[in-house]
Amino acid sequence: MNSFTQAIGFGIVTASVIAVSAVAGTLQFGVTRYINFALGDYMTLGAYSAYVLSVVWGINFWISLLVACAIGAVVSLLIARIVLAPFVRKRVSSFVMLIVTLGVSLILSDVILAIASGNPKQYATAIQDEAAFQLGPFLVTPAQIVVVAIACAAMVAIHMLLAHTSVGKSMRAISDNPDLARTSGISVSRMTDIVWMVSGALAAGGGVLLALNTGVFTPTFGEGYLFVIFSAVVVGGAGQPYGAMLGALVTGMATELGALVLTSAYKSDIAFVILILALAVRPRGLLPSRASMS
Amino acid sequence: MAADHALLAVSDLKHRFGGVQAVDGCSFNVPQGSVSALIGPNGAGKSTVVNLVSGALPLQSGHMEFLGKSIGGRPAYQIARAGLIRTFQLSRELRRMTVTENLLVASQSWRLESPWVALFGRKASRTLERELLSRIGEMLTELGLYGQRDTYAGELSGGQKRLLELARALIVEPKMVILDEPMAGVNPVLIDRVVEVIQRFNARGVTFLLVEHKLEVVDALCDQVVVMAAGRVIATGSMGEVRQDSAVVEAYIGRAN
Amino acid sequence: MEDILFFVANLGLFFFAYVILTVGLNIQFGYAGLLNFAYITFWAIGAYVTGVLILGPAPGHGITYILGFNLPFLVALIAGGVAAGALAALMGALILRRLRSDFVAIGLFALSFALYDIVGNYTPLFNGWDGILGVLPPLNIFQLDANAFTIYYLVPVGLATLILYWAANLLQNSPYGRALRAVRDDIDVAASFGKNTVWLRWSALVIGCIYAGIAGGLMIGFLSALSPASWASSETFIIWAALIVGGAGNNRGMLLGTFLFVIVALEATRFIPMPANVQNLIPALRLIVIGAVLIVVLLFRPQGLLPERRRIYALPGQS
Repeated sequence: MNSFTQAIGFGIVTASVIAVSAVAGTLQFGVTRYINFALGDYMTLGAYSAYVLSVVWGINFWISLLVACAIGAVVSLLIARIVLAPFVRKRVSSFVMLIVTLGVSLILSDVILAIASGNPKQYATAIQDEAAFQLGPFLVTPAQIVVVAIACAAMVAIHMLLAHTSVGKSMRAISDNPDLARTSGISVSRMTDIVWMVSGALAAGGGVLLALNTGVFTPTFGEGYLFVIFSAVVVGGAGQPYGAMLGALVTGMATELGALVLTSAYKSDIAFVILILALAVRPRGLLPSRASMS
Repeated sequence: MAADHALLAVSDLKHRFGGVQAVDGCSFNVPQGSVSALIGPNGAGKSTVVNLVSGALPLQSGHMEFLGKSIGGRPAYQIARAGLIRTFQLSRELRRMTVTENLLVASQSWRLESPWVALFGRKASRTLERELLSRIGEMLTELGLYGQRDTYAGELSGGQKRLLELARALIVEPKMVILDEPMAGVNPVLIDRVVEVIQRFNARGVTFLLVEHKLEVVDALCDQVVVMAAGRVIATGSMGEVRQDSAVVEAYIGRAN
Repeated sequence: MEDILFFVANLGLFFFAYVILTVGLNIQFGYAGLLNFAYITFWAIGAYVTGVLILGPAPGHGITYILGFNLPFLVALIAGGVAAGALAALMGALILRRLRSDFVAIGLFALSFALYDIVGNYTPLFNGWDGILGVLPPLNIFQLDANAFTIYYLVPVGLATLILYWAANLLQNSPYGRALRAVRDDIDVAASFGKNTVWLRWSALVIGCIYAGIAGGLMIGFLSALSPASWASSETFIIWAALIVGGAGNNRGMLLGTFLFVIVALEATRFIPMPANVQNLIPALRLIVIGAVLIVVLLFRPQGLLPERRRIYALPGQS
């Protein structure tokens, strides 16, 4: 079991963690056309909710996960309706929306800090106590299998949504060409509500996955992971859900393989370099994209 | 008075937005010194052509020449510096700057816009500024905006913003101006004034291309009309000629223009 | 008596540095409309580079850093500003080309996180998480002790502040400043009448970051030590909120915002008596309040407390 294959294995796990949140961010961006700086905090919210439910109250892990996603969906929708909507009505620039979502991020992360305190929490569940075993060329722990499985399930669900439901098709239409979508009778406001719920649910789930993978988490751990998510989103093309999955794979693999050479302290810096390169060289992303970046 | 020399020559322009072919092989010339119009039903691709020519959209296919030199692929600001200025269909003014400042920033030479000049060349800037302000005063008076000279551009009425848009295009002393629906929302009383201004500047040698829906204006003002439909040019000629062209009539059937 | 003087002098030094930082940020944000979350990082670069140039060669075990040339203060200070400017030039060249402002902001935000990580982990650079220390008071020609030096240092720092403030005013009230504001208000329109928007934004980024770097270089002179803890990104959020509340585009407005936020919000809360368990929540509550104030101000008074003043020009006699 050499370190190279092991790094590939880690890359798949990291990619799974990134993918769920990256799809959350890119779906929301595709419909709303502005960046949500609080995405990382929705992840944190998910992680803390699931923690309270499963570790503190002892509820079954899978139920806790689903409830955490539901919480994420509801909070995301409420924030979008109450805080963000007035600005959208005033038609402020996406630049100002970024600052507004920064304000939301500050509030959310510090509410969590106030309630839960800043001490790192450990996502210790029964799954994590189990030992690693051999799966093909990889040495994996059950926790890692769970992470990859959840991410795959989420990706399949998203694909089903986008390809086979009218909601998903409407979302894609708005993302490609908002004016055309509007004149075709698609209710942009209803789709916006739906995308915020989906994005919130996915981000919460992504936060749980991140907590499972890293073990300990703090009120700002989602925020800190934000630009790793953004790397994946930009590489895949902002607004392109399948691109985000591809971007997650690229970023996940690159950070783990890079860690072989540079030591793991610099993993997030690799994600940073990827983000910068993507922005500088190919801001439209690897897949053909319509969402405007310039 | 249309010279042979084409100031702007567009050939076989094509542009695709995702699944939609907005422009599908568009070719036309704008003769130097003319006032030309680009007309056609909604969705014909007129705005896309304007965006392509001015460099606001990247060129996918086709060829564009201005003053005999290719402008395809050049960034918007370089095309503007070459003397081809465009206005926008939905007024885009610099909201947090006054009317005077809008015109000042447009007309000030880009050579003065450096930190070096700001620190060490104040005297030169100030002299040039005085000249510009005098021209700006005249322009504002001509267009009836002198009273709003210190108003924030964002606070103007719709019609006033249109006039500011026109003033901004003309104050830079362009060689050619593409006006995208300049009359939209303008007080009927002022439409005559706008027409006068266009004619006056045309007499001074500025070439115009108007994208316009008000056909009576086009009739009164324009030497040449280019008709577009479904991404292509379907007729060119004077307003009288084009009116009788069967393809044009067909393209306009059922349109409220 | 001496203690009060020393305290006031210390406050004065921080104030001068804040003026330089705020004014530089105003050029980037208030004038060019660039959101630079990495601003504090450029301050740190300036401080570190100036510091390691003043210091002698690294002793080796325990403390490692680059350079260490024992250079005179003025040279080190200029080098600090240049280093910050060079990094800004590089970053700007990479991401300012065709990107809309919010994506530029994300790129710069990522830079701040990455540099924080790199400086902390890669100890050969600036001694990692422990940071550099022992930077001797610069320009100390009279060999003053710590307290007297603080008062004396007000003079060179105050002078630098005056020069930089005056220069910023010149930049802002010039064709260059006007062009920056045009780019800020509508970048496509500015390009449509011939402004090289890429160069304009890039130059504003570089100039603003040079200001940050010089502020850093001046401050290392009286801080004498610097570690990553002092410049974590969360510091910048507070400065941003201050700028927006105070009024971007207006130097005095931004100073007012900084004063209100930094001094009143952060320091004043110390003096309000409250039960112990609430006391622990104060850091979190502070940021919640800042976030809420930011959103409210953006909604109801986006131009800030002291908005950009309207510029009136005399148009030679018309009807």
